[in-house]
Amino acid sequence: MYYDYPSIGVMNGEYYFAAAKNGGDQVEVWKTDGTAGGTVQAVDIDPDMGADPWSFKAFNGKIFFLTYTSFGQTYKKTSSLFSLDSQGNLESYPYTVSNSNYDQIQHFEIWNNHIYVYTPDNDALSQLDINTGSYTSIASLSVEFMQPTAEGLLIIRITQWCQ
Amino acid sequence: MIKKASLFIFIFLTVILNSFAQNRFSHPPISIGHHIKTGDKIIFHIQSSRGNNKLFVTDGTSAGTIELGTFNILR
Repeated sequence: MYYDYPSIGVMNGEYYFAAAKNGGDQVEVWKTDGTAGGTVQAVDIDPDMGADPWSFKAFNGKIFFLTYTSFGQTYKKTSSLFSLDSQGNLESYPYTVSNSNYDQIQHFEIWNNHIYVYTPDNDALSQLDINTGSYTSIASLSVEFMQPTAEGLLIIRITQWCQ
Repeated sequence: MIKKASLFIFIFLTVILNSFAQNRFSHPPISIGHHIKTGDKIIFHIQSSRGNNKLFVTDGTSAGTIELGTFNILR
């Protein structure tokens, strides 16, 4: 499902995307300045299995994205929010759901100078403070889709599954 | 008996050839994946039917279309 998200992000004239090269299948963050020589791997987040990054969005001088990483554990992968600056400095913004084995941020969106994340394990929409890395829950709902608009943050909510 | 066998072979070959033609021609040889427009350029993915993934940048001219790299996987 996550492959439906935009997979190219732009920051400071550089394009960030997800790719695997050199015969491998480990997908990591790559960037290009629009030249063949300037197309390089930006970071190696999960050397064991690849980070499978997606949904690249620029904010506050950094490129933010979600990953699907194992962190050395072969039995599970978790989706987490990361940021990368143009110097290659990586930061993570872990979200821990109590009574859950997973750190599952399924969507994130930037609106009104804030980052909003949706975590399906606890059906919470939360706001991230990028200075402290802490999250504040602002609503309890099942988010299917988020889109920033001029009027506000558009949220499509699941109220009932039909069979 | 010979007519029945000929008819069976004709139908069999028709089905096989039709299936082959659909597989061969119903998919385009390349497809354009993700792309993003910024300024006067577009960055885009191309995936060939043989799994050859390439990243390009273009300014809309032939001379300004540059291959940036070939990847095993490009998302």
